[in-house]
Amino acid sequence: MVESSIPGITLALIGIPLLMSPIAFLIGRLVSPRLSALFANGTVGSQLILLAVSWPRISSGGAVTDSFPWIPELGLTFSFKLDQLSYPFVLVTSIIGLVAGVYSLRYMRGHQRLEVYYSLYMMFVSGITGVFLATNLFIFYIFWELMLIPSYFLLLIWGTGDARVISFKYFALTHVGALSLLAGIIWLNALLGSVSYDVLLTASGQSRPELVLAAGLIFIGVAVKMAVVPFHSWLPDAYAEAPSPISAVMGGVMVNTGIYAFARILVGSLSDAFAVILPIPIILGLIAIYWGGAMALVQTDIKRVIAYSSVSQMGYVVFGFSVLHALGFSGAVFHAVTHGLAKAMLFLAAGSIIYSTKERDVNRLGGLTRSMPITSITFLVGALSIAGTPPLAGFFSEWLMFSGGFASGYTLYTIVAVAATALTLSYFLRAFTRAFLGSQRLSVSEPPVEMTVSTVTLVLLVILIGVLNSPVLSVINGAVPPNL
Amino acid sequence: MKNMPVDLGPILNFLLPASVVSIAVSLISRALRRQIISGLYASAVLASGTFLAYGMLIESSTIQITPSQLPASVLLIDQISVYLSTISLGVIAVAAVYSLRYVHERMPEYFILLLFLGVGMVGVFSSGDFVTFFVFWEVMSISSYLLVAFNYKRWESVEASLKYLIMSSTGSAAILFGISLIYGMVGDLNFETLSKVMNGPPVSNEMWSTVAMVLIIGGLGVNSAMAPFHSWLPDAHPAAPSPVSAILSGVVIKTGIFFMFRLFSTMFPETAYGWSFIILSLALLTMTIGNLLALMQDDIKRLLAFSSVANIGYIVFAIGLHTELAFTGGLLHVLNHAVSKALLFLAAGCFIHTLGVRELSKLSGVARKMPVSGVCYAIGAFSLAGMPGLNVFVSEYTILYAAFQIGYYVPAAIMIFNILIGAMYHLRVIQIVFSKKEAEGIDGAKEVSPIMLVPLLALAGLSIAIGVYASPFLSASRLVATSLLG
Repeated sequence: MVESSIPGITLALIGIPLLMSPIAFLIGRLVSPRLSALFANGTVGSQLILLAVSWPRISSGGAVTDSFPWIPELGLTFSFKLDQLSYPFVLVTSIIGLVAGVYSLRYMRGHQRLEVYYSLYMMFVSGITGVFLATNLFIFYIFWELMLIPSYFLLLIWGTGDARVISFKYFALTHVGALSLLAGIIWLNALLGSVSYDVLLTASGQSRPELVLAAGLIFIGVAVKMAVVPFHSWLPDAYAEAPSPISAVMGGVMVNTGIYAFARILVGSLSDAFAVILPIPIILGLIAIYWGGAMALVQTDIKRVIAYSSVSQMGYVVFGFSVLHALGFSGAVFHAVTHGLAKAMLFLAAGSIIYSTKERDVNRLGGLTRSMPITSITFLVGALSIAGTPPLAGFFSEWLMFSGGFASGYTLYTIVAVAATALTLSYFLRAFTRAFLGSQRLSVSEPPVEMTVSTVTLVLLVILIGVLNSPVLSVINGAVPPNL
Repeated sequence: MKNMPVDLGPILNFLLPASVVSIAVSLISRALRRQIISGLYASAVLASGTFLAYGMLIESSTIQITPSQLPASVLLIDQISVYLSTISLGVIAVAAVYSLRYVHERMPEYFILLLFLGVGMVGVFSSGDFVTFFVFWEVMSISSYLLVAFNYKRWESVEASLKYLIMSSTGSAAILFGISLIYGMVGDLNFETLSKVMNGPPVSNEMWSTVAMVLIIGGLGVNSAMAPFHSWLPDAHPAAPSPVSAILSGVVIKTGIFFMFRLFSTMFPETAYGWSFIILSLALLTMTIGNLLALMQDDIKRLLAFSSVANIGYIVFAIGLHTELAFTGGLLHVLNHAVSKALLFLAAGCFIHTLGVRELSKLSGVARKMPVSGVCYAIGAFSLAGMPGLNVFVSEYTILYAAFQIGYYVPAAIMIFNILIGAMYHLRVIQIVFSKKEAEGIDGAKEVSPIMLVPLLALAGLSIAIGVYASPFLSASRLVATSLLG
């Protein structure tokens, strides 16, 4: 494998948004909040440039790394690595981070303390990026929790509804999961003597009872972040009541940290220990698919429909990984990309509706196709992609996951999972019919151009990745762990 | 320093005369009607003491002073002595600077007491025999009683101080009784001699050695608020002025911990006395009681005081595991808890100083009016909630790592559960102080003076620094742990 010759890229990916966030705050305080918003978007956008610079190396199978001595007492180095597995995740993070940031320019206008909003936003994006770039579980855990704090404050200060209770629930429940994850990490540290990914790989062929229990603890931690049933109860509240751009980042990107942890730790490193607890994760995944879908079918709040759809979709991802097959792995990782983009798009579309109509109940909306054509197309494309309609991006990721299920012999489970796509389609069509079709009840117009630009960008990306999926898929295929 | 009549080691040779002089300085400052002079003097002395101790920590040499003629003190100044002296003097110095603006009346007396508290603590850390230890122990204890009762016109302070005095003197009496038993058996009180004699048969098989150990550890347990002797702390610490609470909760309760580290690693080794199970059980009890009770508090300082009880539980847990890694984690936690708890008490002191209330419900939204102290409070609270990237996470990680390493899965699980409860009540306070809903009387709240904010920012910075780059601090505490376990 080719190692990096360009130093500092991974550090800059995390460090620029993180270290610039106090500066964004100062700019907002001393100059103007509007400038601090532009500055924040600039720092998040700079990630895209860094990713573009490292693309040749990644696409040729290499990795970009940075490494410094850090805590030798615990056998830890301060190192980050952008490889073929983390690249798609970071790419989606920066795209959605930038798009939702631009969207916030208009959506959040009129709110108080926007300089704090944008500095927290930068920390949030940086924390998520750090999770993907860590090279040992200690740093991984630091960023795992670092993204929790700013998102908690974003929800507490700018959330709608009973923000105090919801943000507490969000923090408390995800922290329970995080401590389960931490217990697993420390246990692995004690068992293997180190928590660097390289050392974890050596444990891939083992299924000692201690390793199985540690893997189980990590699975719980990951499942809470991915909101797999029965650990999902924080998600609908948090996603629905956060400001829409934050919902987009949470639903499109933050949830990917769970997917990434699944790919990197459970399937990538501890697969033999994880295989012992099968088929529990598969069954949990299937329950999540149906439970989330059924709940989405009965919601009237448009953001809650989308939020429960996440619960359902994460069930697919758990399923895709748990079949322990290369196709399922690629599909699940690709689903992080396609679902992330589509989900962000749906939340932004819902945000546009709320912005224009001040209304979020699908029964009180209606006929919006005429007054808000762009938003309705956005919503439709996002919904169809998640429902797995070809040639949109979501079709390919689900196709791969189901192929993995059949290929690894879980035929019955896979048939049950495939059948659920009908459920996905029906709850989205129900929401779409009620909100966008029928007679027009509210006289509204499209939201301002800053917001539509953001959503249209995502629409184009979802179509583009669906049609031209080979570059992304070839990178993901290169990331499939050799043991599968 | 050879020609000094009594040589007490570099730190005390400076600190003790400087503290005696402070009485004169106080008189002068009172005569000049410039109370601040005594405060500036004390802050300067304490800061110099901290740097002196820090310099010795860097040198990492062991000083043993055994006087040729009696009566005189035997001193043993090793790694753990300077490590804890640095932490303690540092916290007292920071609190002293903060007090310059916080304490308004009887400043001259106040700073004398702070200095003698420092002398007592450093003396305890440097003592090489039980007599020296006990003398300094009482110097420290008496200063603490007086500081708790510093607001002597308030009934709460006097009552809390009296409760503290009664319980703590009972503890001291138990220690003294234990010491006398040891003297009866061995005929010597020098730690070095005792370590060689008591750490194995035949003395360790003697029932009275065990009785002496139980008495001494029990007495130390009272000082460090180990369950079931913790009940004085939640009364005493909140009743004191906030900088004193910071000192008491941050470092004074660590003197008992210090002695547990020293005694358990030298004269009462686990191999001969088999205390591990009991100490671990007490530790789990302590952390669980502290955390559960903290969850139910409505007084911000009482909540922090119960959180101190819980953190003592974590440190005693590390002692109970008695491996090098566990000691490293425990000693680092001594530092981390000192930093974070001092930060929290000082930040809470800013709220109390401005608003004059301690009930959480009346502090709703205060951090929006006082953003700097609010954010500092949040850093301290997230740190003690075990958020990674901040200091306490590193030591908790190390302690849990040590527990998993030797297969203590169930106790480790209980500790993780406790960390979770800890996160909940710290989060609860953060939610309240950052709440959008403002309590009555909060409108006029203004940020406190910069002199009070400097200590806060310094501690918050240290908290982040240890969290982000733990290596020097971990290696320092590992050196101490190695020197203890030989």
